[in-house]
Parts: sequence; C-alpha cells; structure tokens
Amino acid sequence: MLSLARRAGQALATALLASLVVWALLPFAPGDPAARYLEARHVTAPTAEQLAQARADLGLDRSPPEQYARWLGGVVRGDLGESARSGVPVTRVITERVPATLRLTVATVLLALVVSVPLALAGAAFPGRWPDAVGRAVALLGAASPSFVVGLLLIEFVVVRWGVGSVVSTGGWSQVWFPALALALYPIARWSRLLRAGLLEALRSDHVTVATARGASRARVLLVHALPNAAVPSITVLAMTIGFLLGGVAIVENVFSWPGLGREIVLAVTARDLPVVQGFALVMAVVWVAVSLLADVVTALVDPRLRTGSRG
Amino acid sequence: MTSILTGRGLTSTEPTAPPARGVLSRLLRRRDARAGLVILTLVVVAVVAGPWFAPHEPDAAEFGRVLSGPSASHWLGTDQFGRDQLARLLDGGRRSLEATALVLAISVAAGLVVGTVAGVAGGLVDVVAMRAVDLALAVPGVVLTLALLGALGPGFGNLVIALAATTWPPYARLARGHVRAGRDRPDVVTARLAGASRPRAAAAHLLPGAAAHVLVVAALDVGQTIMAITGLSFLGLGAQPPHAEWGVMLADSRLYLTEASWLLLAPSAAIVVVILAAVLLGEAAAEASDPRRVR
Repeated sequence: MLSLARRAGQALATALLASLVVWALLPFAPGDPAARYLEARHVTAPTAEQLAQARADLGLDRSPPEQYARWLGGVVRGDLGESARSGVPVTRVITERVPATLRLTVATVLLALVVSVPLALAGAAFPGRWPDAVGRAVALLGAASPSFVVGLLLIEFVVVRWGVGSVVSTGGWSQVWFPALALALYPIARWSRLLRAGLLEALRSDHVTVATARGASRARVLLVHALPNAAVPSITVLAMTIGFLLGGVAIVENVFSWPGLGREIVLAVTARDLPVVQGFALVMAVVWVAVSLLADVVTALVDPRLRTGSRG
Repeated sequence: MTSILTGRGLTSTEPTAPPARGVLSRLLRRRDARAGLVILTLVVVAVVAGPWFAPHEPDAAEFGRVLSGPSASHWLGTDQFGRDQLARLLDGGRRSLEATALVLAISVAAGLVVGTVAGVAGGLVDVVAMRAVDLALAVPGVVLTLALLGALGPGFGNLVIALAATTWPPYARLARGHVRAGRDRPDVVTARLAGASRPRAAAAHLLPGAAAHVLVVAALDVGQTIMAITGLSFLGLGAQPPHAEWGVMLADSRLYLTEASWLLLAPSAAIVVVILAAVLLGEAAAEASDPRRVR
C-alpha cells in the first residue's frame, strides 16, 4: 500500500512537471497576449490604458511563479483558456473531440492485442521455424511502416480501388478499423517481439520444466504456465506504447479525416493557436501519466512478488 | 597480436577497456546489419550524388506533361506540375535524411555534453541537469514535439529544433549513468593519480564509452526520427512546398490518388525501405553491443 502511495505521488509530480513544460510554451505565442485578449473581445485598436487593464486582468504584471500558480489554478478548475482562433473555451474544444480519439485508441489496442499475442505464441512455440520467421517479418515491416504510409496505401488500394469503407469518416465504430490498423502496426511489431522474448525466457524457467515433466501438453505449458509470467512485464511496455499512440493519432486522424483530437491539434499547431495546443499537450500528458500509473498498479496486482516489497 | 602493428596492444587488451570495443567488428559479421548498412549507404549516395546525374531539375515544371505515368524520359512519372518525380524523390530524400542526421547529431552531442558534465560535476549541476531531463520526459515525445511546433510555428528548421529537444534527454541520462558508474574504474583512478584533472580524466576515459552507448541507442532511434520528420512534414508542419521532401510529396499525392498512384508509391517505398534498413542496423547494433541480449 505504501509503495502504491509513493508511486501515485511520483505520478502527480510528473503531471506537475508536464504542466510546467506546457505553461512555459506560453511566451512563444505570436503577438502581444494582451492585444489578442482584447481582440477576442472585439477591441481592434486598443488604447494604452485598455492594454494595461488587459495585462492586469491576465495577470501578466505578476512574477512568473505567480503567473504559473494562477494558470495552474485555472487548469485544475477546468479552465484552459480560449482558442485563439475561435474564442471557444479550450475545454469544450477538447471534450468534443475526445470520444472519436478514444474510439480510435481503444480499437487500435484491441487490434494490436488480437494480432500480436497469437504471433508471439506461434513464434515462441516454434522458435526459428517458419511461424517465427513470419512473426519476425511482420514485426520488421510493422516497425518500418509509418502509419501515414500504411493509411494512404489502405485508402488508395482498399477504399478507392475496391470501394470498401469510405474516405470521409464520421468518427463512428463502423469506420474505425482502417485507421486503427494503420496505427496498430507499430504496437503489433513491438508487443509481438517482446512477448515472444518473454515467453521464450519463461519456457526456460524451472516451473515450466516441472510442468512439462508432470505431463502437461505443449499448448498447456505455453498458455497456462509461460504466458502469465511473460505477460506481466509486457503491461509496462503496453502502457509506454500508448504514450506513443497519443502522438500517433495526430498523423493517422489527418490521413483518414478522423474527427478527433489529433486533427484538431494539427489545425491548432498550423495556426499557432497556443491555448488549444497547450490543452492538448496537457491532456495527453495527464492521460499518459495515468496510464503508466495504472500499468504499475495492475502489474503489482498480477505479480505476487511485487505485492508487498518495495521496488527500486 | 596486433600490438606490433598498432603499438596499442597493452591498452587495447586491458580488462578495464570500455565494453563497446569490438562492437563494430561483431556488428559487421551479422547479415542483417550488413544489409541495413548497404541499403542506407546506397540511399545516401543516391540522394547526394543522384541529382548531378539526373536529367531533370526537381522543381522544373513542364506543363505539357502533367501527371504522366512512368516513361523512358521520366522513370517515375511526373507530378501535378509536370515535375520529374525521380528528381524530386532524390532531392526530397536528401532533405529528409539531412534533417534526420541533424536531429540525431544535435541530440547525441547535447546528451553527451549534458550527461557527462552532470556525471562528472555532481552536486547542484547534476540535480539541475537531471531535473531538466525529467522535465522534457514528462510529456510524451510526439506530443511535446507538436506542442513545441505550435509554440515556435511550423517549418523545417523548427521541426529539427522541436525533434532534437525531445530526443536528447534519454541520451543525457544514459551518458550520466555511464560516467557515474565508471568513476572508480581502475583506469580512471590511475589517470587521476597521474595528475589528470577530473574533466580530463572523464573526457579521455569515460566519454568514449558513453559515446558508444549513446550511439547505439541513437542508431535505434534513426527509424523513429525519419518517421517523425516525414510524418510531420506530411501534416504540413515541417518542410514546406514547393520544396520536395518525402512527407510533402506524399501529402501532394493525396489529391491524385485515382489518376496517379505512382506519386503515392514511390515516396512510400522510399520511406519504408530506408526505415527498414535503419531498424535492421539499429537492432543489430543493440544486440551486438549487448551479448547477453536474448535473440
């Protein structure tokens, strides 16, 4: 329990560090923030007094630590500022886009698991033989094929040529599988190879030898005795890959016109709409911290060795 | 045995020599490493020397030959402005690969300097340097790159800066770990006792090993970096048209998917082949430098 509390404290510290990084981006915003603030309120030719007033309103006359505390206070209350392009609250821009991105991420993780686990099992069951070679080839190609290349090829050859699916997406479950496939190749490559290595290592351990000696079938040894041991370290890798997916959605969503956060962020970056960019980065960082915390908790729950003792 | 030729026999067989020695020869004995190296060398030679031999300029528009398929005069066809696709592929590849090399060179140099200085100096310098690393690693890499681009504004130069800013922190951590672990190694202690200053002893005895470790990890990152550069350029956040760049070429090809699929296929193949070679070489380097690694 104590180690869990410490791990949660670490996660909070990381989230705070991330918020500091995100906050520090603000001075890079183009133009005078006070002028922009007034412009969003339809004051196009502000007087010196109006500018000074706006600066005081925004807290720009305070010291940086005060400004950071003020900004963080707003963030905690759900106030991420307003989009520099539309004046819409950033929180609303983001919450509107979250469901589509969430669908895409969930579909990607499912697809990656469904493909990579059998590949790893086949590779570990027949190391060095043809199923292993197929697994290695898939992993190599997956690691070498950027999601946007795969996405474009899918659109060109499956959607346009064969007329399967549609080029314009609404963000629903029925259309999620092509973008998910493009995004899943990299996790498939990583997970299948790592899980295979873990399985091979588990197969060499004493309890597996004992199980084999007691007459357990090959399949039973692999699935019941080796897989759980090999799966535990993979949980952490799974969480790390999800951090990678959070960035990857930006590219894939643009290839498939998927109406999620990734498409919104690229529009915002192009227009240097910093409040939206900050909101996106902050949300992604917090999700990442939460996912890695969750992975550590799950690992500790699954692995009896980690349940009580203190870890590095 | 080679001591007569090189005069370095005594030091090169010291048991305290950095573990990275011999990695290169072990690496070159592997078939996958050689394949990756040959492909990468061929591509680099092609994009550097190719433009001298190519019969067309990468940005010479020929409006009589818009979107024409592969032919004897235009091996890879022409694009929507009648520009030769092969010339643009070579020119664009040079731009993509130059940016990759630049990002990794900046990151490796910055990581080595920060990590070594932090490891040697210790104390406050170490704390500040490592908190800076923590800071940069608190946000997922691609997300931080996007956020930095949003702050600096899109563009190829800014893309290189943003990617380097997110690539160096793990290198610094690695170099620092290497330097700190080796502080009490006999060769370092001997150098100190012989009168070498701490920075000098570190530079002579610890930096080479740290550099070898960092380079192996950087080799693993080559593929990711190419992916990031072409991917973000594809989104319009990196290289800008009319300049050719593999990601930009793919973005352009999207409008002509039905009538000119060669515009899509050539840059796609180029990107996949180069990353494949980089992955082969990077993984082989990681395995060759760590004999304990399970295959």
